[in-house]
Amino acid sequence: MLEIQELHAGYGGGEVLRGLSLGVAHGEIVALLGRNGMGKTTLLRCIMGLLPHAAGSIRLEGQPLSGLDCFEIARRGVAYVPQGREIFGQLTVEENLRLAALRGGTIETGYDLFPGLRARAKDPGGSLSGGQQQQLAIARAMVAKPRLLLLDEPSEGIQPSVVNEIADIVTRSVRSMGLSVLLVEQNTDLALRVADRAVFVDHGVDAASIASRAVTREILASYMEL
Amino acid sequence: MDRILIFLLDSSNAILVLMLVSLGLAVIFGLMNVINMAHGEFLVLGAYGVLTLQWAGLPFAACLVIAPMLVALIGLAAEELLIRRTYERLLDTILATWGLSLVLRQGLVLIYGPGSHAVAAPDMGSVPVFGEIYPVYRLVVMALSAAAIAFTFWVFFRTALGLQARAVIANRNMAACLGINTRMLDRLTFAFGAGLAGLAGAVMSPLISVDPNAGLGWLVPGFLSILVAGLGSLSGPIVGAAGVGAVDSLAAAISSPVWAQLTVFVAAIIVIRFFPQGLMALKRREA
Repeated sequence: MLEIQELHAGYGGGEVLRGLSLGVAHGEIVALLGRNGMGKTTLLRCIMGLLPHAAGSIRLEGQPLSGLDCFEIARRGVAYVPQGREIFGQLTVEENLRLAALRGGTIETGYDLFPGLRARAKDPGGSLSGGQQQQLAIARAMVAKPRLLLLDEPSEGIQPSVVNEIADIVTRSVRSMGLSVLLVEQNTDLALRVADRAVFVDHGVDAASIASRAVTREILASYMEL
Repeated sequence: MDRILIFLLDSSNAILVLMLVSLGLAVIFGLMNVINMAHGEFLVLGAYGVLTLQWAGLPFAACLVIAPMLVALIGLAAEELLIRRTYERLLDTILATWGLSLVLRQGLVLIYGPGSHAVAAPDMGSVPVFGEIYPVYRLVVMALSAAAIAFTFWVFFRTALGLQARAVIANRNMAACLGINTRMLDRLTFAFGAGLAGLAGAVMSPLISVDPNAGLGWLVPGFLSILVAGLGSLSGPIVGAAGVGAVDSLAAAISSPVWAQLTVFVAAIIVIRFFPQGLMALKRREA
């Protein structure tokens, strides 16, 4: 459902993505793995339309996304949970969810996913704990009823016990809805446990695409260690 | 006692209109990070709008409704043609909107001449207020200003549009990631802010001398109101305008309007010197 071909992009003069190609099938969870600075977050920002790409193409269900504004890409069914979560700290939990539900969808989807959020509905998003903020960011993305979910470092800065709980809930929900997911995650054990396939990104290109089960310690070592 | 009452009514009148002006400035700055130096001219355009529509034979009430809308449309055009090209560059917004203010001012001189005009005051008579005779129209000005302020708060805190605007203020990129058309909100907000200024000019038009340079006298206290209370909230300009307006009225009653302006400036400088983040920041720190 998502096809990326020969993508080139970067910031200022520096090119970060140097001809990356990637596909995500319907209902497939793909983990993007690789060392820091290899272009994983840049790729997600390109798909979301937050960063223009210099060359190459991004297609969603066969439709090109190039040149579309971020809000148009969002309306076509791409939801983004950015690194650092970026919830609206001054707005209440409910307002955060309502923003995502303005164009179809209901905030109940978010509360069903993480019932703990309901008790905090009237509290400012910024008053939540790190784990709850991540729940809110994911719930906000799911409320919009996306077709493709982009997750950037969802486990960052959250207690390990909470991480696994959130991961299980999200994986179950994504599977039942048949969502496609592109996951950037430093915790490779977690990423390989939930993903169908891992794409290793190295120096701005897709270096390898391997089924999660077939990823060995040696493969991980060759792409992940400095 | 009677004089104090009249003084309080007159002060409330000035303060409420100043609140409208600074609210418009704050809305535009909050959402778009644009310091609108042409805000005073938008106000003057509101007054000229009433003048022109009155010449065309429209009843005063209709002028009050249509003139702010015309100013909002002019704001919309200015945003599309000029302001949007300066986003992300704060200093350029000052230069661009200052240029716009010059163009608008000279445009008014070309069309209406450099002299001042008087808008015919609607004949509403006077009523006794707590035993004092007070012009009805001034009460209408207060009511309209208060209603417009309440409407602005309602839009921002009770409607889906306002929720989206607050999201854009907090985090523009993330708002776009949720499917919010931030460009559309920029247009609407600028037009809305301009419309608030236009309304202030329209309601005040029978009470002031309508001339091309009348805007500056509103722009400066409008900015002071925002600076004194602090940026980053809608209640800031309300509190600031109350303070600036009260000091101005009080000083003007005791001495003269010239001394009043000086007093306001000195008071503002003292406040900003000791509370650089504004008086509202003080409250936030305690909370």
